[in-house]
Amino acid sequence: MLSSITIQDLFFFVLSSVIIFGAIMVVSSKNLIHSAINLILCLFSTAGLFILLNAEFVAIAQVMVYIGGVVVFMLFTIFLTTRLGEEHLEPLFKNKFFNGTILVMAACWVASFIPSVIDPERDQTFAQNASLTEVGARFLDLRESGFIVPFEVISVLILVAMIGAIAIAKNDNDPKNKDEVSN
Amino acid sequence: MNFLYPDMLILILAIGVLAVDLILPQDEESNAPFLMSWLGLASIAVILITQTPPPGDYMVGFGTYTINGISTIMKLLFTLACLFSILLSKSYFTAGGNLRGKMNRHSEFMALMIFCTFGMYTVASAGDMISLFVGIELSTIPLYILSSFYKDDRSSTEAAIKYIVMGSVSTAIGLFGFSFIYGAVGYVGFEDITNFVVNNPRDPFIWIGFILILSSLGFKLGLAPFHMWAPDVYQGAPTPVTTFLSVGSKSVAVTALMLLIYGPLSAIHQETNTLLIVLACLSMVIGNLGAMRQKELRRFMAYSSIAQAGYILVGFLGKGEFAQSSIIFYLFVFMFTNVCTFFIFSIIGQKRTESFSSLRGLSKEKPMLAALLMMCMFSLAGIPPFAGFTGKFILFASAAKEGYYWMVLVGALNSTVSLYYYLLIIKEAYINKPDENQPPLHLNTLQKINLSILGTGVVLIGLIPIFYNRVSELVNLS
Repeated sequence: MLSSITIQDLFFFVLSSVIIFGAIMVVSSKNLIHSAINLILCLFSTAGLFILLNAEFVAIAQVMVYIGGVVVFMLFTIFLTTRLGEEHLEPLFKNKFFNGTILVMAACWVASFIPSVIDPERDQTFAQNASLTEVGARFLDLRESGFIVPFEVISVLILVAMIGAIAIAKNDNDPKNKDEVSN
Repeated sequence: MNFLYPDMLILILAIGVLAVDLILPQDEESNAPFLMSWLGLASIAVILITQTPPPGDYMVGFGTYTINGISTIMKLLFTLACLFSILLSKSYFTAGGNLRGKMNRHSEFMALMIFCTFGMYTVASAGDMISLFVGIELSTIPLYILSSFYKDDRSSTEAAIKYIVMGSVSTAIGLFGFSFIYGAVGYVGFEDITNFVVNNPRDPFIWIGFILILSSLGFKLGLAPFHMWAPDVYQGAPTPVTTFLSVGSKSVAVTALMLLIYGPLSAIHQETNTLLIVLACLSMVIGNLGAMRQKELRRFMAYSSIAQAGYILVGFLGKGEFAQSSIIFYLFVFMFTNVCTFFIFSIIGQKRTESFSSLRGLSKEKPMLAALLMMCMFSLAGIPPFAGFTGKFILFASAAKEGYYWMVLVGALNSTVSLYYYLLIIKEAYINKPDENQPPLHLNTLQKINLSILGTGVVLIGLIPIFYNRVSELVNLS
């Protein structure tokens, strides 16, 4: 077993341990900023896992959306909210026995799926690796198996989000409409 | 191609409503966006009424966008819901139109409503999971924004924050479910998923995926135990938005659930019924118990519509075209009754707070309005001869056809319980002594016309079989 470990397996184990370490730090850290920074570590390693699987598109999306978007957004929220990062957080459920039971139950539930997943009769063919170009071309493909319609609808969705953001953020109480506000 | 006209027109309409503000001179009292929206929506509704798609599925974009009988009839429902909500919103943009203040930016408001309707169209026409998900998002995100349109009102902001936080969580859960199904099947198209589920009905990933998606759709549908957001959002959001939310958002979730249960997951429909029964019973009981204690009209309607979602879910126990047409027909009944009720509430809200005590003496002051309110309440409770009775009857019949008699009994018992709190509203309007200090109510022509259309709908839809026949004819086409 040990002799068959390749460099890929080694990377997998290293990345997985970093992910698990990061995940544990996220939930156990008492400072919210530390949690957020550990989350970055965790998400970066996940991106590494995707690269290991030859899924560059997902890896880039992971870095851009999660680290560039979500975590930075969270950090902004923490910094803009007064004293949220300074307070020490208290866990919601302090009973260790209760927490342990929940954890074991969840682990058992997940483990119960293992037999059916490693079932040798299950279809073991894997999808082909898709390069960045192929993913992009598939989105805009007008032929069969293209996703042009959802792609266009997503652009409408982004337009709507922008209009909405402006409509909410714009100040209604500017001097031009002042007499209406006083009513 | 001409079956795509409604979808294209509604997008053009939304952008046109936005643009009309740029072209015309800046004028706060301008009626142009309002006129354009309702005329446009009405003509799209007329196109949808006259259209009969060919039998089978008419595919666009190779299965990602499908047009069939069900999608046509659902689009009509969404268009009507948006149309009436926009007609209702008219008075909210004029000074003194509502006690909570005047809303600004009506062209953005109406454009967002129409974009939201386009999202609903996408759900109705979805042919794969990506279109379905994007459609659900496009029909929800504008509602988050619209809920916060009373910027100076704290309850409106609170509603929007609660809605967006809980809505995002539910979206994440739903997307997680979609990814499980994609992981199991390897394709996103509904046809591929159907084939996979027929061959592997016990696949755990399909089941985890379905349960997660059901939780997410349950949130949008306002099913217990995912209903926590509903009372606060219904209460805080502006009434036109609440109207659209209660009718449109619910119908979208029902459409998505119908697409999945009668489409890709039809092979495991028998097994999914257990879950649906639990959710239906919980929603009916929690909605009915919650509604009894309410004193605020919109909060009351939130609980009432949780219970209504439970009744709709009973229809999902049935099989095939009959169940589908019964659900769609009930959605129409629900739409007419709910919009009519909210119209009455908005008239009361012009000068008074929207609470039970404001209804006192309504029968003396505005007898027709009180009679209409009574009709709507009886229709929601399911009393013949109003539409609610016919709707519920067909809905329960579809469950009874599959042998779920005890579920019909639970539904009927819950309807009886619900009659109690619907009667409480009628009691306020007819029996309780009026308060002398209340400001008088006033109806304008627009409101009178709308109320007569909606009131006629509440009575006639259930009595004249032409409506149900048309629904079932279109459902049978697909």
